[in-house]
Amino acid sequence: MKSQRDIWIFTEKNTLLAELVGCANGLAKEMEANLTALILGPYSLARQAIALGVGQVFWLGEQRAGDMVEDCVPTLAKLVETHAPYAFLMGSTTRGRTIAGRLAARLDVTVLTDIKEIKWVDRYFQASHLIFGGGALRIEQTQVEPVIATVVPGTFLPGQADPNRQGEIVFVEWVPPTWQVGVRERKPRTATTVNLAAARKVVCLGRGVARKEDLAFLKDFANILGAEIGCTRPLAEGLNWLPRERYIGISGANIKPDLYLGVGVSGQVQHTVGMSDARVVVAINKDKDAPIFAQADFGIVGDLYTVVPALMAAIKAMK
Amino acid sequence: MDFRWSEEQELLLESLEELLKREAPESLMAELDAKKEFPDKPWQALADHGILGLGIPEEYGGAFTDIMTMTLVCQALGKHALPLGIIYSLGVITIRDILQFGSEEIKKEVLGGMIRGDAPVALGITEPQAGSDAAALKTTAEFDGDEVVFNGQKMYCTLSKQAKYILLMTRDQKSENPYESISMWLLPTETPGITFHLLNKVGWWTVPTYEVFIENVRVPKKNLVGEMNKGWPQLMANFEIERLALCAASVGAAEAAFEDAAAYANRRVQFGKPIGTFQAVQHIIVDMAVKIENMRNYIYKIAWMMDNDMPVRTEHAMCKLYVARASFEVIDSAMQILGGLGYMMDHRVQRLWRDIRLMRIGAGTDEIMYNIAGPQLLKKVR
Amino acid sequence: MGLNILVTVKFAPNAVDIEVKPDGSISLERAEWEISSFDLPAIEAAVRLAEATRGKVIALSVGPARINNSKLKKNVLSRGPDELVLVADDALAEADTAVTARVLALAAAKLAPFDLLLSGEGSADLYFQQVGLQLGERMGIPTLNAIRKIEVYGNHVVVERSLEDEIEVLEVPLPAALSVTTDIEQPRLPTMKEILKAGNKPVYEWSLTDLNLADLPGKVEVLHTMATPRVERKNIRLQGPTEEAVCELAGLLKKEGVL
Repeated sequence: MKSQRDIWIFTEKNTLLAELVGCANGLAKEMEANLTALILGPYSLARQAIALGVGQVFWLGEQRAGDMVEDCVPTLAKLVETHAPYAFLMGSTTRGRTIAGRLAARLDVTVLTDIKEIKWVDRYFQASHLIFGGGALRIEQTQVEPVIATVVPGTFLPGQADPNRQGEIVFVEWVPPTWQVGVRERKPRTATTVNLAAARKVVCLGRGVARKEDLAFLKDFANILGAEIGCTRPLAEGLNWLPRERYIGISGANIKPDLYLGVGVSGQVQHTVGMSDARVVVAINKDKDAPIFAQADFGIVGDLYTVVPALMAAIKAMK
Repeated sequence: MDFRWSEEQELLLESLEELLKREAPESLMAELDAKKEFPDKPWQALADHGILGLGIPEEYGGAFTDIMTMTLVCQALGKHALPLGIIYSLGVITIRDILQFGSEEIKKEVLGGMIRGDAPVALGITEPQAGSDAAALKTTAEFDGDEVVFNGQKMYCTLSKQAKYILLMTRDQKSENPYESISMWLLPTETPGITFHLLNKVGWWTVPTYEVFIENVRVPKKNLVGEMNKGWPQLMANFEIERLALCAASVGAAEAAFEDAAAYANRRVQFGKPIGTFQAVQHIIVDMAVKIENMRNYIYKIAWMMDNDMPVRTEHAMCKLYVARASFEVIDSAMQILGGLGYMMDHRVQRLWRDIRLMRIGAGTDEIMYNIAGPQLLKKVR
Repeated sequence: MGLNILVTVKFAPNAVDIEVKPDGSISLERAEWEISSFDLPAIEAAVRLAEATRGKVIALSVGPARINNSKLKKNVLSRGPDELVLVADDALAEADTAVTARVLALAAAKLAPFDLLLSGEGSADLYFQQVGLQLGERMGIPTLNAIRKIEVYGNHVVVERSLEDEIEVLEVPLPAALSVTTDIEQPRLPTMKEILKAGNKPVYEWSLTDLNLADLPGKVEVLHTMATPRVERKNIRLQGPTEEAVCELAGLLKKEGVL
């Protein structure tokens, strides 16, 4: 019988820590729980967690050379078995989902992925997430502990840091993993700092864009509008023409701009769920049956290579 | 009577539809039509997928299929990319002629290429003075040692320049009886002495048609397909299935036009309401749907009869007569519903309209269909 | 050297056909069931690796009773796998990821030894992106997600893993469980030959009893599923020649205050 309820948080991405604290704070109030952060990284990061309002940090130390982040799974599993937290929130990154899944399998629990909301109601955890490619919202509840949930960046308001906060930092023993994967190489992707969620206007590029070279004139177009460039998944993941942060959709950025203008975007629901709250939606596509038109305020059926230059000219003429 | 398709047929059609969406999207077909270009890449994609091997025996690299499945394939091609359905149908007769009457050497040479994506073997029958009266053809074949020399002229020879071979019909001028003096030959189109003159048609822009001049063209004697002077019955054997294939493609085209019209009727607002709420439009829609249903049932029945080795001489002629007209009427009605938009070259219905109008003329005119069916029908009732 | 590869496949309703009832709840009654689209690249990757090494692919699927459907089975087998193993039981109808992974793990153990266990990145209907990972961990083998390339080197594979900021090139000992991304391979389209062969390939139907599973306590209860609220859109199509349409659009955008 536990007298104290614990909510744990973990992410390998430092920038997500504040959001996890924000999510956990809401839950902690409902449950009268304490917050614990599990930190893999430099001591300064543990201090940062305390400043964000976490009462306790289990510090796994710095990542060893040649290790992968995911090698911490056995350590996390042992800690969970020892301390039995009620909930364990993790950042929904590729690594975060791996750690959550592997941990859940070890503990014979499930994972609530990409939650939009989590509450403590009548001693149950209730969480909601999007399913059917964004077409529906499912609300689930569970009592099995720990509840492991992953949180998508941008869902919750981040907690605020206060360097005067006090807390406990406990160094924990590393459990060596039973199998390891050899890291041969790390190839950086074109990383740019873009905050698509904050952009007021977004021009989104889709599969209708034929060549990477065309990005140049489309960036000019975006500049004339004062818009940021976003894209659908194939341009970021498959073709690698744009960094992943520019991908708008169910496992990417979620935006609420004043203007969304889709160029050569077909409008699959996995993409539109990331922009459906935009105030004004415009679509340009040469396929008259593209689903995007049903979700647009204004649409032009036409070849983007004709329409966009013409639109640029029309806008310039208006200024 | 089970009107459902087999799971294999459903899976094949789903796979084919996916292929056509990828390799022959409407935007590409519109572009090729405007440029009057043969659809090389989509045709090659069909070859790579194995569709062109349907109906060709496995020993030559194909896959067995029944006529019903071939009909469904033509219908799907007609619906999503009509030119591909047309080209496929044109190949149906020449493939069968070669399979049934060609020597082993000819079969091996020609069929492998067709499966790999060559344009289908073209049919050289019609001449300036011999259309419906095909037996009036005058192209000659004279033997000279180990070779045969052709002289003559063919008209409305579709895809003859794209194809590697023409199935050439010649006539022995000395004989009185046209039905026992016509012979069928395999003529490689690269042979010296052949000149192609492109004809400018109202439709079928991506399926070019030529006037072909044949002057002292020599090929080996062994290029004879079947037997000397038995060309006419050989040719007649496979007209029925070619007409069925073209009908199926036409039905597909009508289905495409129907979808365009219905989608438009739901979306186009006039006088404050979608035009699909007006009775006048609904009546047209229903008439279109009834015709499509009739056409579908007709082609499936003919396919079923052929798969069951039943004679279809009368029935197929009636089917072709009906489908050629009804498919055009459906497409014409679609143009009416689409209004001004339907008359624009931007919209595909004008392409379907121009392409399908030929069906009442090509592969046997309406009038010939009447001639075939009329006497037979009267014979049935004493 | 032929690789023995297992690939997990989910049959699920096509979410395009969801019906929203007047009270906002969802009905999938009219939806067609099909192979989850994210599993198609996984199947293709498995088949190509088997073809390259003269190995074998067994497809593995668990779900409610209706997945034991002739057309669904032929659909999977027409895409290259040599055999199909099904665990179809309505007790699995609302199975969460832990239950699904557990059943798959027991089935996969019966098919051992194998070299690779491939999964799609997530299912087309729920997209929780978990089952492949949980399955690998339950089997005690190296397990990774986001794999976009696999190269075989005898007793290990070298893979490319697609992370947010970087691509990791990793050496993974076999056997291993890999969840693959959609761009690992473009799925082939079934040909008539393959469709006809599909009906003759072996299909094994195992029950929960065959897997010694007496009960399956679910961990999570679904409370309800509601349609996400849709913003009403104007759906105005600007017609006519390009010059006119774009001028009209520019004017409209100015009125909306976004220009």
